[in-house]
Amino acid sequence: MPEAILSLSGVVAGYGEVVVLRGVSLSAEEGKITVVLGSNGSGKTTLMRTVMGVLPPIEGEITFRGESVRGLKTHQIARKGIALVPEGRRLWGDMTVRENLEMGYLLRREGDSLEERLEEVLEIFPHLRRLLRKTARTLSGGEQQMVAIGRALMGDPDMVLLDEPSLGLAPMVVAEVFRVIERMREAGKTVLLVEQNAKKAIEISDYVWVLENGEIRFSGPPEEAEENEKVRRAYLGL
Amino acid sequence: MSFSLLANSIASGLLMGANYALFAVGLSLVFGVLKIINLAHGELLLAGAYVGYFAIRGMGVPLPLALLFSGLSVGIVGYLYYFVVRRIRDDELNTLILTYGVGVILTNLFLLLFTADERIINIPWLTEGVWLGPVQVNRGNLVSGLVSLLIIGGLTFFLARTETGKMIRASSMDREAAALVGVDVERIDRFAFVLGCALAGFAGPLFGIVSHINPVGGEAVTINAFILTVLAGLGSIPGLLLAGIILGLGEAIIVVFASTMFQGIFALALFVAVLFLRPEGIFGRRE
Amino acid sequence: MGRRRSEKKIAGVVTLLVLSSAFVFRRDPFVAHVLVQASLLALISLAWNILGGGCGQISFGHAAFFGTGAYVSAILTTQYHLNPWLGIAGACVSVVFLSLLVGVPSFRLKGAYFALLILAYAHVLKLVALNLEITKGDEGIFSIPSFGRYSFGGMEVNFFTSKGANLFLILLFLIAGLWTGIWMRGSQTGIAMEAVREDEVTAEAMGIDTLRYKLFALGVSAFFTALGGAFYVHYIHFLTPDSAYSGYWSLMPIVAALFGGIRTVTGPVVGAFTLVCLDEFLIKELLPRGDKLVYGLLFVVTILFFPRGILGTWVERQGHGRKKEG
Ligand SMILES: Nc1ncnc2c1ncn2[C@@H]1O[C@H](COP(=O)(O)OP(=O)(O)O)[C@@H](O)[C@H]1O
Ligand SMILES: [Mg+2]
Repeated sequence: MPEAILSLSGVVAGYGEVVVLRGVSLSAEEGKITVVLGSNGSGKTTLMRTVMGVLPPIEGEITFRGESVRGLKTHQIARKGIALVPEGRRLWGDMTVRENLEMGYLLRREGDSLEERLEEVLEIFPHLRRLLRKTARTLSGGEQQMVAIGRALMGDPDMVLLDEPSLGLAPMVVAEVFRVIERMREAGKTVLLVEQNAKKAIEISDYVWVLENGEIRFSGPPEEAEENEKVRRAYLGL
Repeated sequence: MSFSLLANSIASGLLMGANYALFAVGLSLVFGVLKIINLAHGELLLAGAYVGYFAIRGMGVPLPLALLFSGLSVGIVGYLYYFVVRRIRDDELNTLILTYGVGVILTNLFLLLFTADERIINIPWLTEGVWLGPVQVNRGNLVSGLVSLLIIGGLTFFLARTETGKMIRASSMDREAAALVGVDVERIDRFAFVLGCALAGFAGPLFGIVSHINPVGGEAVTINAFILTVLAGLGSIPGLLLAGIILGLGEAIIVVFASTMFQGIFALALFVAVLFLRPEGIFGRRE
Repeated sequence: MGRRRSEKKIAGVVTLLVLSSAFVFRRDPFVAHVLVQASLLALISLAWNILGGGCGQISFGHAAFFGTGAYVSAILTTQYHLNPWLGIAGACVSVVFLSLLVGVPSFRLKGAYFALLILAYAHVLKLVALNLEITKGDEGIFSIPSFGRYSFGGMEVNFFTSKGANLFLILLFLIAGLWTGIWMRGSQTGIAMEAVREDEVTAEAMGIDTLRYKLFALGVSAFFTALGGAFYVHYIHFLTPDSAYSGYWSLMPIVAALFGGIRTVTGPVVGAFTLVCLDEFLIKELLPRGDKLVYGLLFVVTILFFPRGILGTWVERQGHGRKKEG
């Protein structure tokens, strides 16, 4: 059985007194695309932020490559080789596209130079090449999402977490985002993808988890997910 | 009233504007990165002014060295101050109150140590007038104005071009996003806070050249610094320079036509106008 | 609800305590004077806290309200020869209006704009008082009348000579302020103000008109502060820009409120009496020059180590004790 690169067991987390995740156990296998489905407010974003140490878990354990990341600061977790493409993209609006991408390069651990990394990212998103000098806030939603993903890839992470990357984008752009995610897997990266666009996400996935009300309600390979009554009704609209 | 009088006031107003920007830059930096209004900012600046005063008057230290020395000593105070602030910074109201209390402590320390006397750093060669083409300005104003421009320019470059500068900007715009790309945001907080205090200290001796050092004058410095910060828009250093010039020029022109009372009213009116018209500042953007 | 009931009980005890001490010391001019000072600070601190502790809007410039209230009453009585009671009424009305000039521009925005705008107002108003004709500039206004002389049946009350009479008057104002505070806290308004204090964004999302409640709290706070300022001039009989807009009236109400406990209504009163007595009988003796430094340190230590203040901490302990028993 292949290694789980990231695993959560019994994670409880939330905001102050409000508990959002009520004992979530979940794992992601190395080099695979793992998808987490869940309706609005089910705790997907909270899950991502907890993994990244933005929110400290109240209970439970999170391990990356077998080592606990509990209690580590966000930047320390990121430096272990995990990059999050956050919900809403969260670019630095007053910075140029180039500066945004360069900031992603802070996560480099060894190897490629800044220019080499930039070249690789621009090869994935050729469209960004002529936008480099533009201020990030002037970009369209789709362009911003590409910068956000590009920024995450600049640090050459082993694992990429994406929080609803297709939200609010035009169908053509959504298709490109999903293509890029598949390319990440081809390049050997592990992907944890949170989506509401369930059909597309299941299509490219290797394993599916369903989060409802802060609890895992289903897990299984994509074929099983497509068969499952609840998943079909709630997420595939069938 | 003669034309040359007005021209001279405009010139000194412009120079004063650059000074105002420097007097505000520490507060603006700390506010931008940590979202804390350091109400002890003015008192820290005065601490720098006193250090400069005694270094120059008492020990004959040359001005550039005195500036560095003031910046350094207030920076060290800022470092200690940061650890006090950090304890409660999650509580916004308490933090605001705390910084006010630190200002009160400093003011009363000044009163205790240096009495209520007003002082001015007066270096003989700085008190002469110099001619810039048709206008005459005080050399002290000229020197401090130019040093202010230099520091503001240097800081702008630092924030725009260096890696640490970019981390500061990223952290002030979106702290979580910065942490996600590996920025140690707490280190950046500490750095920005200490730098902000050091800049106040550095500005102190220049304040002592263009203005009186009054132990209870810190609050007025803080108020002006805050007005400029709001006028400029969060974290905008060039905006700060423009805002400083608006204030400096406005005050200089008003003094020509009316009394000093209206000078004070002008700053307040500017403040109220900004709150009504453009709370996001000249360079800020409406979200 | 338990907390509100215990607040009423504490306010009742404090009311009785201050009234009975006034009875005991009404003929001792020195102690009566100290008690007047304490009551005045208690009133301003209480007023500050209706806005600060009650609604989360911190003012660093209550001297603006105090000093303006003092000037309005002084001018009305010396230059327009109104009697002091009308002077006080005029002071309260004009200061409530002034408070709108601070509140309306700053409360529309979230953040500490109010805290700094009022600080700026305090500075500018002092500057204005120094420069105007009507305030007599830095010379100040002298011979401001007292509240006069009255006789009820056989009893003679002379505000000009008797410290005790003035003490009862300021206590009356203080008690009015105290019970207004208690009443506000228990009302719908108080609950809405608390919501604004805890989280303005959430309060707004709940449909609370935050601007309205902030302005209301500010108006009440300004009213009682002006009342104190106007009382002060008719008690002291002269006024200068330095005394009217003294930093004391901005700083000490905050220190007293923090020290007593800003989450309670009565805390500022307890804090003010403790501080003024400490100051008169201890600190001034020990440290004739650095007494303000002590307040600065006290201020910072309080906010760092016991931000709930003495009364707040005590009330909390009581509450815990009862919970455990029950
Ligand atoms: N900053 C916050 N403070 C308090 N509650 C929050 C916060 N962010 C999210 N929540 C609550 O947590 C729950 C889960 O939110 P989230 O994780 O964003 O869900 P999802 O990403 O699945 O839509 C929601 O009920 C939401 O109201
Ligand atoms: Mg979400």
